Amino acid sequence: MRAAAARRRLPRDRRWAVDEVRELRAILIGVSPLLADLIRRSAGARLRRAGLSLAIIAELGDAADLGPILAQQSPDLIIVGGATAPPAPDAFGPVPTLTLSTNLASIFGPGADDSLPLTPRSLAARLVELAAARGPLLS
Amino acid sequence: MEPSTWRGASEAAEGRDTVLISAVRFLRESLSEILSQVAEVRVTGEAASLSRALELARVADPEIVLLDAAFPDGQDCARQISAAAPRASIIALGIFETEDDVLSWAEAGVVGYVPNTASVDDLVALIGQISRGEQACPSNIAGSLLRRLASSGRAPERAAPLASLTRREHEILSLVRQGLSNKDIARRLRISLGTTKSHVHNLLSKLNVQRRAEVITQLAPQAAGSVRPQPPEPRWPNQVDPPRSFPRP
Repeated sequence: MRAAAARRRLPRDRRWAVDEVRELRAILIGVSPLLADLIRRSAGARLRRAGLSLAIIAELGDAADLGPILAQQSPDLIIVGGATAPPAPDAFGPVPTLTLSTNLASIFGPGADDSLPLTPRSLAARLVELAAARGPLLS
Repeated sequence: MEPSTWRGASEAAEGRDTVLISAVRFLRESLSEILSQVAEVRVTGEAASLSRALELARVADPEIVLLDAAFPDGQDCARQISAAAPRASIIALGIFETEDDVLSWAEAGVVGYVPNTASVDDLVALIGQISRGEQACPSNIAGSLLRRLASSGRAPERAAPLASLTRREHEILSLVRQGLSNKDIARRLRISLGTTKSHVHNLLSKLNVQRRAEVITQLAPQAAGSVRPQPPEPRWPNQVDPPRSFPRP
């Protein structure tokens, strides 16, 4: 609802047309399959309303497996589950990272001081912000 | 969002009243949104605390309770909900599918579970299966359940169920045999109604009977410890083969 309202306020030439849907490619680390699917669906529905799609390109159990995938896949962001604190800003190189607290109450990142209560809406909003920071149409 | 459906549930004319219980707001909100797209499920309430969960169980009288396995004291919560809403099918959500975990949830009164490796489509399908009294589970889990049932048939508690009762449960038993209602028992013992229901539930479970009336009819003429054991009613129809049959989208 809020995303749709924000979209209406944009000048027409900056709106995202249907064929301009941009994919946000994410890697999940340490997130259970059930939680990953909830993220995919709940955030995905909101992102679509903002002209984005969320593609989870890899689900890893451990960050140790990330190296080769980072080089091959060039993700737009990394989402890490089970965190007790925000990761170091450069934990995964230049790729922005969101972490979900162990109790799933908060999202940390991408900045060291960024923290939000974790809800479907807040997660989607954070993803839209990340896309806006990287995407040409919103830059 | 693509509406999900569960297989073979076309007989459900309208959604089953479902309550979500989780301390995690993200889980409650996202599941509620997703299940609102599913014709066969009608989410009638969400609870983030035990007190709210028990209130919903009594007031909303749900058919299905989806209980987050990570909920604080989740298994005790399952027992209390089971006592407060006897017709509800309690489904543990996101459990680790180990033998110990599954068995302890089964003993807590859940009729089914969704492992944390399931997808949302799996969850929806499993709700449909479980509400029809089915549960797909790996063969090692089914084997453990059978072994547990078999060994409980030989356990001393089976021969002398009264011996396994706590002092409080003996008090409750005495009052149940006098024909007191839960409300009267709560008043008499100066404990809450919810606690009373939980004690009664545990009592019936230990005595291996389904209804309090059976306590009166079976125990009255008999000496303590000689309750005629009833055949256990399996609440988890086991699918031994195939070992794992969660439907994939």
